[in-house]
Amino acid sequence: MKEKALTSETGINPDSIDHHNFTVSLLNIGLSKGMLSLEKVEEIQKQLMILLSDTILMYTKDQSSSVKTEIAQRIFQSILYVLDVSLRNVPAPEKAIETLKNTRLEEIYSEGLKTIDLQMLQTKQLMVEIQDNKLSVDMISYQESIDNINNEFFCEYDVRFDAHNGIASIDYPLLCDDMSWDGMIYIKNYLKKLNWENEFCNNFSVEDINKLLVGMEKKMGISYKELLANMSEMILINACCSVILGRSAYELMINETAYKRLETILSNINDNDLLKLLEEASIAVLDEISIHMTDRRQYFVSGIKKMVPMIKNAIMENSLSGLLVIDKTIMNDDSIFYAGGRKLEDEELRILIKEILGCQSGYEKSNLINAEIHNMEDLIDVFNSYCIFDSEYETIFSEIGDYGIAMLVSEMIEESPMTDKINFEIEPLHNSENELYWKEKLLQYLNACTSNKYKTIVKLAKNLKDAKLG
Amino acid sequence: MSTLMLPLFQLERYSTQVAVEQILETNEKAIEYGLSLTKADALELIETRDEVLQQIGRIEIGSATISKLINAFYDSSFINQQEYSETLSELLEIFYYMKNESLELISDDDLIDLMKDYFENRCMGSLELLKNRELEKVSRNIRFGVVDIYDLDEDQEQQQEDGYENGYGSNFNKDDFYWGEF
Repeated sequence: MKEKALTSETGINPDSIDHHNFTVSLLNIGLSKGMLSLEKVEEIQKQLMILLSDTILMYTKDQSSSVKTEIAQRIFQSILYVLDVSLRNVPAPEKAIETLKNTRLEEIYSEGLKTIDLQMLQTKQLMVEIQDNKLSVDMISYQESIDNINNEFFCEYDVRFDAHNGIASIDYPLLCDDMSWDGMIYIKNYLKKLNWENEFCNNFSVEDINKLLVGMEKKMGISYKELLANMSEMILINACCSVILGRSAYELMINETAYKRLETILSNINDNDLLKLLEEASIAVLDEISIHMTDRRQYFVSGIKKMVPMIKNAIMENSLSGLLVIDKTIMNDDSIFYAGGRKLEDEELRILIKEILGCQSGYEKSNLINAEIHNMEDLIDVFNSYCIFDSEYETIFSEIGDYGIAMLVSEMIEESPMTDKINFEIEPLHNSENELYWKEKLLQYLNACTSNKYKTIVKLAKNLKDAKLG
Repeated sequence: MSTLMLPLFQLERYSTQVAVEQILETNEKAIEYGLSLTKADALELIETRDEVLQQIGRIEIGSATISKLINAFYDSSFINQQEYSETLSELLEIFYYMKNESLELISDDDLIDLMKDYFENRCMGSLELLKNRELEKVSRNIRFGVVDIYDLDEDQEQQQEDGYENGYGSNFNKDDFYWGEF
């Protein structure tokens, strides 16, 4: 264990404690800081041996005073695990050391057993929630891991003689798993995180999740049923990329054209900006699917951060497609990305506007804009430049995607404090004639959308506005 | 084991002292049979116990086994004062060896009783016969899943004809003893 400096002035430095060997760590620290005398430590050791002796006798049902060494070691580890659980409940390490000093070990152990019993109840409750919200996907590792915890762990967990052993075959990997823990603690944490992942994944259609799985199957060359891959990771990375492309997080499927644009965006930014971009994208995803609780948000943001080195590596090796599921059946690219893309030079923009003017249809103009515009400012400049007319706007808006529309309308939101109703206002005094024109066209387009699409866009727009103000 | 068990650990000294006292207490009754142990004998028995436990990979908390063994054997017709300490050392070794060989299926008390019975009534005081014949048969019975593991006279071929299962046999119930293998 790495030596950490002990804080001498204000107490014990929590970083100096080995939380996986809590009791022993506290004894060592207590002794070194003079909080526990040598005699006290010896007395605690004697109590520990008596506890071990009693537990061994319990194990052998009083029929034998000796056991194989490995069994004694296992029982000893089990006792320490329970003591650790008990002492970790004490608010501060100094108080935990005081507890060791002033409380019989048997009593601390007994409290530990009660705590684990309570954790067992909480873990069973988590399992009930998971049985309720688990995904209907035919992924063996996922389904079996849940079943194994249900059938093996709850039936066979032995808090007396094997508390540190969370008996269950768990193959399904979590987005962020901490395998340094074991026993009850590990299982409870695993189920807690699995529950969060199920909640996250349930925001997306089973059809799309299955498409992702099939996509991975083709990539990995093994049946998706046998994949040992985390579903929320697949969804999160695709959703984040969708948001980066200016689309809704719900649009998990990325086609080849969009993928190429994504590659361009991600290749042209430095490492710090990549991290920031992905972090912001993950927050946007969580906002869009209405995951607001801090612990869950931290979990998924940590998840995407964890993926950054992998994504960076993939970009450097031109193998980003290996991390995403690209749907080659989607022909129509409905996204114009504008977040993080290169802004055109003035001369480039002038030439582009001239080309757009030369196009014969809204469809041609839309294709040209898709190919050449990668930045919101450029897009607005094009709208302001008298090169798009009438129904051509509708064609172009339909290609932008929900997130793009939301970005455009976010500036126009007016909220009524009395009714919470959201209106869109265009200030005639602060807009040129053509600005007024395309913004009116935008609002007409928005009002003609389906109810669900309208609500999604408005919600996104509001979040974007709040984020700017905040 | 945890570092808690290393150099600072004083329990060993504490338990040795208690063990010596327990062993010497047996002299009160053993003396009626002309047998007694000195403090040096007691320490040697404890040392033998520790060595054997380490060799065969067992841990014992406390020292009750030594006293139990002494209390069972001090009235033996085949033990004299000259060989008392040495005989007890060998019996101790046989005891722990059998604990492993019996797959933990025989309790301490039952094993000691068994050893005394065989030593007195079948082996006529021969430790070699006790370990290599009688107790070896018991071990074999356990390994081959013989129903009555204490039946030392049944022919092995007969056992196979009767079709004993691997493991513990169809009528053998581990719970009839005390605890099974962990």
